[in-house]
Amino acid sequence: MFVVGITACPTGIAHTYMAQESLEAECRRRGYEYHIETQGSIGIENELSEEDIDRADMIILAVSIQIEEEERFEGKNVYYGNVDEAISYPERILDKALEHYGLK
Amino acid sequence: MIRKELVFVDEEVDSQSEAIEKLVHQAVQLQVIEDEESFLKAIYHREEEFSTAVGFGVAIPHGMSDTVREAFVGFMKPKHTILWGNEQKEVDLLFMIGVPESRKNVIHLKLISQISKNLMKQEFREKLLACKNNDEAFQYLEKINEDIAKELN
Repeated sequence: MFVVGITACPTGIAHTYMAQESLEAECRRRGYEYHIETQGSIGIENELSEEDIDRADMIILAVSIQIEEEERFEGKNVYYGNVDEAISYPERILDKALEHYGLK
Repeated sequence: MIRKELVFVDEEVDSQSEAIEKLVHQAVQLQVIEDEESFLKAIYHREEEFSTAVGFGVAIPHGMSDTVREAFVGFMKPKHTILWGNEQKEVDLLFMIGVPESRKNVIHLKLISQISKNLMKQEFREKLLACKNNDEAFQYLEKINEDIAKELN
């Protein structure tokens, strides 16, 4: 299972990075491969490549703002989550994504 | 970025607003913030968008405003659990973050993002909860700060 995602919050100081950490930890716990991009006040970090996106089994956008370069996901099946939910309940967001993709 | 004077362990505060105002007031005293009112406004604006109580007993009130002279992180462990936001979430650890809006310092922002990530780690939270006084908490946070800075270089 390869999960890619983006986290982004309004101020881009703290929540963006906490959500990244939280999703990564949950993916590790489940033995999934992952690549989570952040879009915060520093800009885009750990950027997803087109290859990552093409290869992903699940694309999770845990964002509460309009993200940059959203066109990368055009025509792709994307699961939209909430950045706060990603921080507090990463297991829930991954379960919901699995359901969305019919992988559960 | 982390100052001893902005680290409070076992602080006697009874509410979210009391805790926030204590930290902000101190930051003004230390001249890292220029105007108390406008920073409080930035903080409460962010809380209204969505409560910054993120679970695991942690809240991270933060504001981005040009009344912030220098990026800072303040820490408080209230003596008693306080209740936060509309959901009245229990909070035992509080990190306040202030960042200038136009004079962005990438290193500061990176440090803050790394500290935020650390908050997701149980071990980090437990260490802070076990701190008995301001000094102990300050030294621990300072060490974390240094480790992060080393990694970034």
